[in-house]
Amino acid sequence: MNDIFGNALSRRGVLGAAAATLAVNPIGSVLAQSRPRFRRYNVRSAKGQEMLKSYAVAVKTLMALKPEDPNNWFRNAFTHTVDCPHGNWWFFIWHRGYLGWFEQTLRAASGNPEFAIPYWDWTESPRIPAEMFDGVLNPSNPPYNPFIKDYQTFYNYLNPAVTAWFHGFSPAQHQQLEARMMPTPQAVWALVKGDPTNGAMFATTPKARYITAASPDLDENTQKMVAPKMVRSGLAPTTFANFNSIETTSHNKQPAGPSVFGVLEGNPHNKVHNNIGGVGHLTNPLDFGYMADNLSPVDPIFFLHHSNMDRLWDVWTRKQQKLGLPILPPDSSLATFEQEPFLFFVNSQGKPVAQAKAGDYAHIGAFDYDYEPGFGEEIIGKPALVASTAANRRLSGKITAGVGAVTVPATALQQNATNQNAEPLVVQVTIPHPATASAAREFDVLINAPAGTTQVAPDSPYYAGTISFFGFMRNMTGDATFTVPLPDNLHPANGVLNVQVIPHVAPGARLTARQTPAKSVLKAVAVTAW
Amino acid sequence: MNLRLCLLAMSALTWLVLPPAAEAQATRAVQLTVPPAPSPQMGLYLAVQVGIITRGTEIQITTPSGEWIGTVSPFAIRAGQPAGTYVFPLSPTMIEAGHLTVDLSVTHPGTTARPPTPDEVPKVSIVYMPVGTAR
Repeated sequence: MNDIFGNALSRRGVLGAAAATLAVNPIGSVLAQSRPRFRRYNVRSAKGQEMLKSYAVAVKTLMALKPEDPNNWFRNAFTHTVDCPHGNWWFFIWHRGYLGWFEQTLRAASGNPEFAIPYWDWTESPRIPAEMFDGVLNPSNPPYNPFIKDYQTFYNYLNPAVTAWFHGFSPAQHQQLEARMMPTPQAVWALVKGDPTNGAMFATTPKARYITAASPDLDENTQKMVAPKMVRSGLAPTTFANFNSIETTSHNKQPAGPSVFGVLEGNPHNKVHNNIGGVGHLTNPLDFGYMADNLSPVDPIFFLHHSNMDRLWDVWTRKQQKLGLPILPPDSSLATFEQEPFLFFVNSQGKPVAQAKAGDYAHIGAFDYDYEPGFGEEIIGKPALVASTAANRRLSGKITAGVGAVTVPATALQQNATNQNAEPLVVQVTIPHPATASAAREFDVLINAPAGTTQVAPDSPYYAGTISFFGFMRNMTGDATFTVPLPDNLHPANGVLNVQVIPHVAPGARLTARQTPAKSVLKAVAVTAW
Repeated sequence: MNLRLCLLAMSALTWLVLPPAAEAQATRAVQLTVPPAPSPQMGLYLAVQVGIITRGTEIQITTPSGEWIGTVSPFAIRAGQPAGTYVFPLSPTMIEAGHLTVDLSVTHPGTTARPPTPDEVPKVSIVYMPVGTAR
């Protein structure tokens, strides 16, 4: 019997019965299948709720395994501690492998042959799902006391297993751990126990998670970090380099210069971890929960969070494919990326896997799952809007008697108004720099205002925004282009937007003669996606 | 040099630390010149480089009018290592006459918000990245 990657399955493992369940459902010929074997559901859906029940069964089963078993719940978390990359270009791909293999372990332990890790779409629902506060799905609950009620209990329970694990490492594994500055079990435990300056990875049961059932919402700041605008901006880059965090020489090494985080890793990923782990909300500022550091897989919410991160990578990948753009690094660096050794993954039998390079996880491939659609999916396969009408996605207007007319598809305006566009529509107006210090420097941009309008209030239906020159610079000549978001409530006849740019007049004020341009300043106008 | 570094290099713009007001300030204002987008397919982002900060410390970034831009919230950074560079999307409405001013503030539980030191935030810059969606 083989697992999905063709590894031989042993029936003698600690999960023998469950593994047999897997084995009688051979899925080795994934390429021949028209759709994936498994689906990762939104945790809020009915199927997602079913999966959570199986997840709880699996977590309980894995917590009960001996700590020497590589699939023991806490022992598996240490794989993340010693091997996970953050802040470099292997972030997404390493976590795909980590979750993919552990998903098989969870599936086997759950007894549900259909199990796949549900995802928590925090953009759609920025609060921890209620069920994640129940039983073993919350590390602050009593079932965790036998393991983490205090540091000494945790150390006594797991240290023999961690020490034996280290003794069994290959030279290549030891080399990676040295690069990570974790050459010995003692070095790892020092980080787990922590110090008064940096705090600990370990947390006692009551402090294991800081968001509670009584107050399950992510805090206000974190909600902004997971909001549509942030996530869409993270999905927008068209190169692998910009979607991901920075290229490094090893997934265990810092870059030569500063780490540069991709938007999705650096912002929603980090902040969700930290908010759940108590960052920003602790009475003792170093008393973090598990999610605040690399022992975070102790908290079961970790896998729902990272399932969503992997889903967003999948969304980005399919968006790129739809655009005919690359989904991996360019040829010049592809080999470096793909050949990076990932040496610590184990299968549901607790055996090291043969797929020990990053490139083995560039595609979902043999893990054979897909995702129930969630936030971000809307950026894929939308009917072409601006892109279909101009090669550079820019709709230029024609100026007649100082008024710019731009024709925009009604569907584009409608989707913009309902925030369905991945990128908001904006109007770009080009006007000359002020010719003199006393000339008007601020202008209002009006859309479909009646001819002859000379003043509008910000709540006017015609008002799009005010643009300003910053001071008067004698050496600045020529034209300047300003960008203003299109208002939502636009229903132009024939899809034509009439754009005017008039000098801004503050309430109760009047323009002087010098501030009043002799003629319209508008020199060019366009609508584009930003 | 990968594209990201390339973009960062090309946008290594001069930035100006505005002088604090007389009273104690919780923020440090940084003014950046925003160059025109190289093409309509380029998205505008703010890159904030963060040095060594204690665990649990965050950097809040807003516009002078209080509009939120982002929060640097380092995760799993090794002790003694710089926290890295974080990238946040910018809206066109945040730009005034080709300039962007951002306010930076350090927050940590139990302490009053304060402006970051130059070591804590050594660099803030504008980054253009090629963007696109299948529309």
